[in-house]
Amino acid sequence: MSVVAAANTNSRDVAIEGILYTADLLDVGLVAVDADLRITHWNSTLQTWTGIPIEEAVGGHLLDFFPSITATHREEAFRRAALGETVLLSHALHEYLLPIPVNGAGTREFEHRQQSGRVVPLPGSSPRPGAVAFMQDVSERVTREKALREAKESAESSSRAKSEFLAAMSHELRTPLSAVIGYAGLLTQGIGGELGEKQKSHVERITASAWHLIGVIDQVLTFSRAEAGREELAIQSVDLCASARIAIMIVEPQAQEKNLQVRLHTEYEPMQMQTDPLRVQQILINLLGNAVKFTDEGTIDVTVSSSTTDFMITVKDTGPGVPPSHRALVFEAFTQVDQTATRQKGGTGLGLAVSLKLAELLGGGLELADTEGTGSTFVLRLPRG
Amino acid sequence: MKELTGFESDALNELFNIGLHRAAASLSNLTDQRVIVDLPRLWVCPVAELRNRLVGLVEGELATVHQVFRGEFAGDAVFLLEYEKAAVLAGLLTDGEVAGAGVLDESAREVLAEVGNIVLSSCLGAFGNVLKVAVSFSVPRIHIESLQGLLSSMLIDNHDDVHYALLAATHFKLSKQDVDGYLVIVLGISSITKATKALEASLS
Repeated sequence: MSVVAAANTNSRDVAIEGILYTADLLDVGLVAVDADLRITHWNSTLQTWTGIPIEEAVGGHLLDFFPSITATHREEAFRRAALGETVLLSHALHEYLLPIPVNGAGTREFEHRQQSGRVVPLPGSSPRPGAVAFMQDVSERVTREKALREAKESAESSSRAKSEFLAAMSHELRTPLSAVIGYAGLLTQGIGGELGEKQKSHVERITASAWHLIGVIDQVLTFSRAEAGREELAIQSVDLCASARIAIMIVEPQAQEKNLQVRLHTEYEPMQMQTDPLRVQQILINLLGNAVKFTDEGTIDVTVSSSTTDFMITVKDTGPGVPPSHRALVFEAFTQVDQTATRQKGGTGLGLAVSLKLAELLGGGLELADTEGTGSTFVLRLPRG
Repeated sequence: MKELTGFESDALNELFNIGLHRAAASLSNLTDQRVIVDLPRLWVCPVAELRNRLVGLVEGELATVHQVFRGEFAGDAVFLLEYEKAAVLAGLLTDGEVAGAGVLDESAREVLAEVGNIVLSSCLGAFGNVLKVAVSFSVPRIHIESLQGLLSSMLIDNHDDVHYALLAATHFKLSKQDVDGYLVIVLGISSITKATKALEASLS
């Protein structure tokens, strides 16, 4: 151990030598000064950091080695500690206690070694008061925290940019589609000349595809608005049973085409709550649309129920269900469980992501119940009051 | 049990005000922004009643900075804020460098420990000046704890029979936002008596 202690060796110096030794072990820089800021102790860690040998440092004046700390918080910390105070200098507010240039690899981002410092009175200060300062190198921690902060900021800004892009794009795409549908309508009506059967069938396909595209764009628009926090709610008193009935009516034609039965079960009617009826219907139509799309035979059961804390609407189908390995993915945007199903069944994979966002916007949640092998069961939960 | 007189209560209030004024000056100087620390309310109560007082003021997780002080004038001092408010304060003082997303990371905790250190030593320093005794402090320690955890960790020496808690509400006014925090100083009645007598002497 390389320690040069002050001239008079007494019990206090022995105590300080112990502290010096420990500081070296912990890779903590340590300097002790008397009340005039003359250096009495300087440990090996500081010798390594600064290149100033212990023999040279001890006996010298702190401000001669570090003139830039004169009349700053750093000098004041030493003076106050010599008077009995404990002073803490956090890295974020001071960067360092002593300006020690960086010389190590991996810390070159900073000009000075980043430190968290504390300055305390010398033990047993009277009759020779003094201060001892401990410096912990926090360069690595600071670099790590900075990288985390930047990663977070960049993730947030790119997510925001994505939502804004989607909202703008959706709007731009929707406008010309209205024109496509409008002009296709004019053609179908024979305005501007009668169409032949084949031409009529082509125009019908144009119209159907355009409507489908508008549906997709609306989903993207809702999703991006909800994600950007710009979806506004119109809260009013709503009968959930009536909402479920309307949603069922809307999907009924597709269900009938596939010979599926859609049944409604209600605990009691009406089941009134304060919420946004259009959003509730949008969620239910998405859930029912999925159920119809993925179920080839059997029934779809819609149940409206309540508990002491929530209102629940459950949509249960007899389709293939969601395999456990994909349960976590179903609410992700642009994801379908089976990529081949996307080709077979169509759709963007946005429906459930939009529904979840809307449910959260309404203060509730949307869950996939655990019913593997017996179809899928989705539960929309809306809190009372 | 000794009741505090109106004069004693006023004297303590005055000492806190002097201390907080110093704390605000230090913080302004340190962060290059105007920081005002007000002392809107001060309560003095037996330590046993501290819980009831604090329950109405703070809730949830707390960020606390403890400093034990010894000497002729001895006790335990705590600077405390609700976790979210602590994150706001650390963020404001460092211009958003720490406590991003409301999380008290290591750097943010260090900043709070320093702020606690400044506030506590300024206030207790004011007591020390009036009493003309040096107050020696432990190193400040920051904890994230519940109110219950805080109350059970408050260090109270037994040799001084009656302990009082000085509970002070502080209000940090920064350029962008205001933040509320609290100071609790637990002292023996003898220390309070000494402080008020010394103050009385210095005023007369």
